[in-house]
Amino acid sequence: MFNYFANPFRFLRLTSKLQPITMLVALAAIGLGLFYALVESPPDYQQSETVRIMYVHVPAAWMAMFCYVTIACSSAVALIWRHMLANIIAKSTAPIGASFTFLALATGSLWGKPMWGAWWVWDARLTSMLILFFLYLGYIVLYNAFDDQSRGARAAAILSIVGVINIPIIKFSVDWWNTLHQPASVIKINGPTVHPSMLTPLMLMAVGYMALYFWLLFIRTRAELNINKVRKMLIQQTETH
Amino acid sequence: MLDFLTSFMNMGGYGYYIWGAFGLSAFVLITLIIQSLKFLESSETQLHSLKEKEKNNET
Repeated sequence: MFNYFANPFRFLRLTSKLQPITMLVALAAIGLGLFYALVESPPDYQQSETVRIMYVHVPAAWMAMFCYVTIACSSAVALIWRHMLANIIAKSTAPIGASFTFLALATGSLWGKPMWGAWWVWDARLTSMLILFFLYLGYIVLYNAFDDQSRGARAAAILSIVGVINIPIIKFSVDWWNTLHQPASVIKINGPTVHPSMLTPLMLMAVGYMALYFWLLFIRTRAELNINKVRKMLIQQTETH
Repeated sequence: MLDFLTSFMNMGGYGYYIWGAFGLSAFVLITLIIQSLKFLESSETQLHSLKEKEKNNET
């Protein structure tokens, strides 16, 4: 199946079909999720209303990690099989992942101030998340740092694969170190320990953010494929003249 | 109704933090959507104009 869709034409046809579907899923899930997050769900017994920040904070943090793993995996595919589409998927994911990481940090800060009394602490979870943000920025800068696009893509791909070590560090930072950040309460072995009334908006927002990612990915990969075609045509033109 | 709205905006005294978090998320994600759509549009115009040029050169 992977080889089948590795063909850019089939990929384009598939993504142009999936683009409106992902858009509708994203809008519906986020719309419904916002209603549950802001109106239907109860305040927390300890954190009162601030718990609502969770519904934009946690999905953003999940997507920050998901996008990074996507970049690292497609970079590995790009390095091993030299497939152009894998590089394009990685490149298109980077700004989306960087935005989610920024949002996880910023909304966390807005949650930390009223609950911990500080906008920022140098805690293991927060610091590893900040490193993730810099990895994204490094990836984007490196990708565009060379005149020869393929060299930039290779250098950025290697960076992203080395940086993937940060992902388990983020995930387990709350178990390995003493942190202010609370431990995992949704993705854990014995199942989530969040009440359904709060799990519903959280999951709706998570589905919405995931669909939003794919919608944006399809838009950006189509644009990148167009730009690639333009570049090829310009090279052909200078060769024939 | 007005009471409901003021208490809704106030969010138990944490309104600034909560609406700040939701507002910032909306701002960043909507900006990303607009930027992505503009990127697609400009790539399509570039490709289209180059194809037109090539057609003119052939004829």
